[in-house]
Amino acid sequence: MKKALLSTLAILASSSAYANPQTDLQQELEALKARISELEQQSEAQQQAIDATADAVESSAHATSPVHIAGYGELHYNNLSGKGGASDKEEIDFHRFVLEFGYDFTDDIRFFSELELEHSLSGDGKPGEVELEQAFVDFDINAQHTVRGGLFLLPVGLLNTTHEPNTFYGVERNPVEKNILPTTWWEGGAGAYGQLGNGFSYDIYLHSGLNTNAGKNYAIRNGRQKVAEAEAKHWASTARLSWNGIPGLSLSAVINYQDDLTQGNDVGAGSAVLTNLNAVYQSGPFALRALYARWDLQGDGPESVGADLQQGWYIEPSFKLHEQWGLFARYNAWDNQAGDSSRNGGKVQYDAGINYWPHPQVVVKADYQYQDNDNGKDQNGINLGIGYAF
Amino acid sequence: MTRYLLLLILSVSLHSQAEYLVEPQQFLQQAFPQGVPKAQTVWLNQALKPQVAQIYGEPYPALRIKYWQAQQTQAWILEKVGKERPITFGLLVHNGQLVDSRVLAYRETRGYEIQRDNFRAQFIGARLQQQRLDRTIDGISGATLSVNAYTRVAALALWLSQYVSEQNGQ
Repeated sequence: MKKALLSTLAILASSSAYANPQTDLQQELEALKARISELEQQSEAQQQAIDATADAVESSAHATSPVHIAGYGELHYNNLSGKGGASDKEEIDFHRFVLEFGYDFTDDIRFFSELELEHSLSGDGKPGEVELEQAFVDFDINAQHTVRGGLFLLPVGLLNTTHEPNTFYGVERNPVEKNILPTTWWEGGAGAYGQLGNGFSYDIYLHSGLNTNAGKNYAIRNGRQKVAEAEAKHWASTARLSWNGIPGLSLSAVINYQDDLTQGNDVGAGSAVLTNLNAVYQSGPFALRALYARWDLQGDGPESVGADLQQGWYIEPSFKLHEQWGLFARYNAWDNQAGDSSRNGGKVQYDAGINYWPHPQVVVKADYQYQDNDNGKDQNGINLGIGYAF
Repeated sequence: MTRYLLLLILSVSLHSQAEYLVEPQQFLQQAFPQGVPKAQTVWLNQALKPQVAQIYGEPYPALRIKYWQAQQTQAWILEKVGKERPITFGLLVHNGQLVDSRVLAYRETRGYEIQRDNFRAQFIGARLQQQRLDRTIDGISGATLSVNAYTRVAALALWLSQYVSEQNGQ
């Protein structure tokens, strides 16, 4: 009995000796758990603070700023020999210096503008001009459709809306778009653009019109009023349908109509219609651009000088030797008095050259031009240029 | 003319577009239907900045880049300015291969054609090869800068994916 009692006491004593350390350990574990939880919360809070700080810093970065600044420019050197009565041309010219400013009023209402200094120096008797080429506000209706109002480039041709020097071949813009469309062509008005599905997109605008006259042989390029106190008795409209259904292929058709190309100032003139087809194909290093444009002018006045039909086209194959080097050739033909072949208004120009992009936004260009005009007045020679866009 | 202007005013008054074509959260939910994993971060430290800039074409305009990873699949949301406004891209990389990419927000005035399925399809299956995509992307007339931005961002997503996989010992 005594032995059994002693054994029981010994067991109790030993279990008592074990109970205290276990409780301590448990308490320490609980404390550690609580501490870990606290540290996790602190870490999470610190991470949130770091993220908030980074958000604040990043929100002041340019990418999220409502103000946007961009620009482009190009310096040209021409060394051309004239023949058949055409003048020589050896000249260096900072042809275009452009600054673009945009502002996002909201995500859906955005302003964009383009201010250009042409030929470096403007003013009385100076060769250049300061021009406002774009100043419009876009209103997104939804993800597919946007309304535009203001002063904007018309959606015609291939260069008129995309003409940063690093995006095309040749030092000078091609003569067909320059003399027939006429690039760069901007007007004031309103309209809309957007996507229709299945690769189709559209642009449609009602805008101020051209104002040409008999003294200019009704040449389209000379009719640009540049929205500078422009006569607005006769408005015009432009519509473009584009298709980009296959990667690398872009097709578009444009029509422009104006009911009086002289703003009512010439009773001998009437309405005019521009029809323009454009194609661009790119597959790997090979690319092909082609354009056709024609103006049909009504009235005895244009017909009397052969300006009732003004048309032109070009085709431009190119090949990228390397990401930074590209070769091109272009055949251009145009005539601003094509309605009367006896006037020798037909012009032909061959171009071939090279582009070098030391950076995708910087380009150095060289090309050779050879003209074969019906009037025998040709300018042949080399053009060099450097351009940038940012 | 008056009728046209009234139509314009009516159209503008009805506008209600959100900034995003596809909300980032929606993109992530579609990428991870089992549940969106917690966001992780790559901080662009001094060592990473020049490497990222080389692929991206310029310094990345942020301090860090977030990504979401579940097993071998990573989702990246990256931005790059095409001409003057940032385009937001969602890109999905699985085992070093681009398996999906989308334009989540397009803010430029030209080049919106890059959102189209047939253009985006060119990027599916792309891998990184000497810090560039392993293929030529056929461009879009008038959208050169947006196409360049897309191509750069796709390469960056693949490079970042490779980087974090190496960091995680995968």
